[in-house]
Amino acid sequence: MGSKHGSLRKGSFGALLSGLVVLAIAAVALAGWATGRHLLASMGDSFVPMAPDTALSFIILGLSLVLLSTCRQSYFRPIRYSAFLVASIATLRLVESVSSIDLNVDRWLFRFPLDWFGPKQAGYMAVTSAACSLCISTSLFLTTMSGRKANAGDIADTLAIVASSIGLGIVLVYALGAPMHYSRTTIPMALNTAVAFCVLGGGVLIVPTLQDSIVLSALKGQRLVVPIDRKILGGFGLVLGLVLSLSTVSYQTICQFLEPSRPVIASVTRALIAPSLLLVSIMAVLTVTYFAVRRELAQGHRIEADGRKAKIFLDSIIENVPAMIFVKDVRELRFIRFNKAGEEILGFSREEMIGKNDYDLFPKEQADLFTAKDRDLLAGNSVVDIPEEPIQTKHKELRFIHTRKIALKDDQGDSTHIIGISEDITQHKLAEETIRESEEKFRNVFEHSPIGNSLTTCDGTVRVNNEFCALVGYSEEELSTIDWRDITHPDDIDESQRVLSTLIAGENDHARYQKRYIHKSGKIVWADVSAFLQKDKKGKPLFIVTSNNDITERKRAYEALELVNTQLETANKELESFSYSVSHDLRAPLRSIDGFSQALLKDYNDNLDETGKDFLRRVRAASQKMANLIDDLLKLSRIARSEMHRERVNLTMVARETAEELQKTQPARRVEFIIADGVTAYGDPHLLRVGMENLLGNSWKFTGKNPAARIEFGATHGDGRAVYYIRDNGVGFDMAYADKLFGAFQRLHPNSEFEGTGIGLATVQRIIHRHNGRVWAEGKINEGATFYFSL
Amino acid sequence: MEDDQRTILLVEDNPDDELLTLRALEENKIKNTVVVAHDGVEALEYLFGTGAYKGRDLSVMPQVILLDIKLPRIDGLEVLRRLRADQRTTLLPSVILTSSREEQDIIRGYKLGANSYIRKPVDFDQFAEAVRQLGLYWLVLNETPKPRRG
Repeated sequence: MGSKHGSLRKGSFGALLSGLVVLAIAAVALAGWATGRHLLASMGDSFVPMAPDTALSFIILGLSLVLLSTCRQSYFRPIRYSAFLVASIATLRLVESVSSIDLNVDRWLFRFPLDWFGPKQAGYMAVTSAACSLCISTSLFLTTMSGRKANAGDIADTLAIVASSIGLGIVLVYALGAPMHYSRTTIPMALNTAVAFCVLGGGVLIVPTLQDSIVLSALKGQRLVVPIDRKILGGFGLVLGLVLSLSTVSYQTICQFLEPSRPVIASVTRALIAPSLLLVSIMAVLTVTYFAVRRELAQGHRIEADGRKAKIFLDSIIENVPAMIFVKDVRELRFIRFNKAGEEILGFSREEMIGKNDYDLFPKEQADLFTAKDRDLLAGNSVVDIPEEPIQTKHKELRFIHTRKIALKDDQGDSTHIIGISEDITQHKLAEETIRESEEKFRNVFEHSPIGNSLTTCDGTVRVNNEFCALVGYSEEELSTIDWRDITHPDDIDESQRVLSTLIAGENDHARYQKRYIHKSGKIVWADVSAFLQKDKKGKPLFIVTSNNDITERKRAYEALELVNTQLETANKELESFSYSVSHDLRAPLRSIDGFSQALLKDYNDNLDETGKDFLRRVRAASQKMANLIDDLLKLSRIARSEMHRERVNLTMVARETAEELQKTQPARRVEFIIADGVTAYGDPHLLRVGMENLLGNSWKFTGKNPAARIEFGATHGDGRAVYYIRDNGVGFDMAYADKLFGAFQRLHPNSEFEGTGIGLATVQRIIHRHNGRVWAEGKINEGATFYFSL
Repeated sequence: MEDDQRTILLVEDNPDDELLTLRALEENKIKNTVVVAHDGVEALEYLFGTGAYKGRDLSVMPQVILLDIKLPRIDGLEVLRRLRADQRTTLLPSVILTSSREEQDIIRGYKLGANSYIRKPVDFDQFAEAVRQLGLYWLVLNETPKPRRG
């Protein structure tokens, strides 16, 4: 990041400058010693000069700082050696000072006379200088270790602060003009030494390291530590340095006073107090630093805990999102993460998924597709949206998913992971499929129906099928420009409009009516129309579908039928008046014939011989017979004309009553009637009674010559319907003439044998036919006959 | 049976039937005066004293009317309807005597207030028997209210 790089450069430049300043100060001091010019070494006539070994230490430390400012790791090792060397010199000086053992450390570099700069103990490294030197060298040493050891950087920074603070304090003492005393063992820090420590400490503090120390970053305000910590640390270090410097001065002053009277106490004080103070202050700084670090660590833990919480939160979201979420690594495209919804959709558990790639799990062509999309994504698209892809589940079930793939990138912009989010759209797709199928079904029904269909939406668009075009003679294009009224018969427009209005008003959702279209050719086309209004969920009309069945032919046939019916009615009326005439007018002459024949027989009895009388009797019999014929014919025509009222008729009862009636006509005859119980039929009660009377009467008549006559009535089943029968043991008939049995006036026996008009069975047939039934007979001459009928 | 002024009105257009009916009455010794009207108009004229019968004494009303249905000009049922509608004739016993056996005719006849409906049989002997019973019933047995003057 730019700003970070910038601060690095800035820091390294500051450190370089510091190093060069220190080198300059030390070089000047050394030059002073080498040439015997006090001013160069002390920076003031009354000031203590910088000790030569102090200057040497500065040369080494300054060089190290310059090297460190380059930030090159290869220099770290020599820097560490140099720091160690300086630390050793300082330690030896401290040991010398505390133990009063004179190692003459100060004399290793320059063997100058003790009074080179006067009688004072010049040329010896001050104890405070040694302490500061030790701090700085250790700080440098640790700075090079800051990338490797935890807290190394922090301790280094703390030590640098302490050293530069002491330096600053001493500078302040000089500025305030506090007296600086010399003795054999007490040597104050030189002014230039103090300045050099200030500069050196600052340089070490700002030198860029591999890892910013907590303390430094706190000072820079870069870490999440509150600003007050920076103030505490910086302020504390500064105050401590000042206090330390002042106390050094004061204890030297105390020693100065004690020296003459209590030399032993002074020497002990000198020997113990200075290092103790130093030690205490270092420990204080370390303690403060420790707490700061601990606090920082706690903060870190908190952040870590927060991070853990955030992770759990995120995991929970990923786990519970109702969409499949998976993560793949980019190298081998293997699944490394898979959520619950994914398990539910694919049927694979995450254990089965993790570590596998698409080819391990899905059919090849699917895996090819998935992988191709992954490659697309990695080739540069940051998001790939796949609206619909088929995927086979563990149970070989095909599902459809909508997937969005996202590439996760690192700082360098390289993709590290692929995240996929998939939604199961199988149901949706199935629903779509169902809708599509249903639409297709509707279209097929609409298009290929043998009925003319039209669909009119509310915006007026019209769709029709071929059959509709054929019905009205216009093409679909033509129809789209024609109002329906233009092709509707003027007399039917109002009614059609009314029906459509009731539909739209919501009174009905469908309606059926008949209307006339005007075909393009001008002819009238009758249509049976079924109209249906489709509404949306809110009840708003969407479209009207009409099915138009061409009933022109039917209408024509109906009209023809109507005509025929009218004609038939007329014919019936004519027939009725004819019957009336027959019954009234034909009988009147018969009455005259009979009446006057009787008058002749009565009034002119004496004038007629037997033959004449016989003739007149024959005339009377013939007129009687003709009257009977007329009556029977009338009955027959009445049966054909009478209205039918069907109900359940108890035929057993009818048979019994008829048998009784027949018995009454010829009480002397002995006939056995065998009538089955509970026989019923569904028909017109009057007609069925007439039919039964005729059939039973027929049997009665033709069993007349059998002394052991037997007539049976009953029912059986045939062709799934009841078959009624009347069986007798009369004279029977020749089956060769069976077809003549039911014809009017057809007779199989001469009148001399059996009287009759030949109308009875014709009447039966008429009755049965009026019930849409069937009547037939079986028989054999002299072996009786059976008449069957079904209704 | 005694000859009295209790008349019979026979409405019959067929001369044969008229003759045979009179013969049947005669055979059964029914001596009442028989007034014959040959169509509906004539029958109504007689009953209400109009036309050919203008000035007829309307206090004399037939004891029974024998009415054929099928008649020229005004048919029997219409005659029945009109005489039932008139206060003077509304209670007159009227017997429909006809060749027709149509159910419709029978129903309409009774609805219009016929007192009886008899079908003329072709067989004269049967016809004569029917006439005998008619005479016995309507001329002898049956009691009618006193005719009211309009």
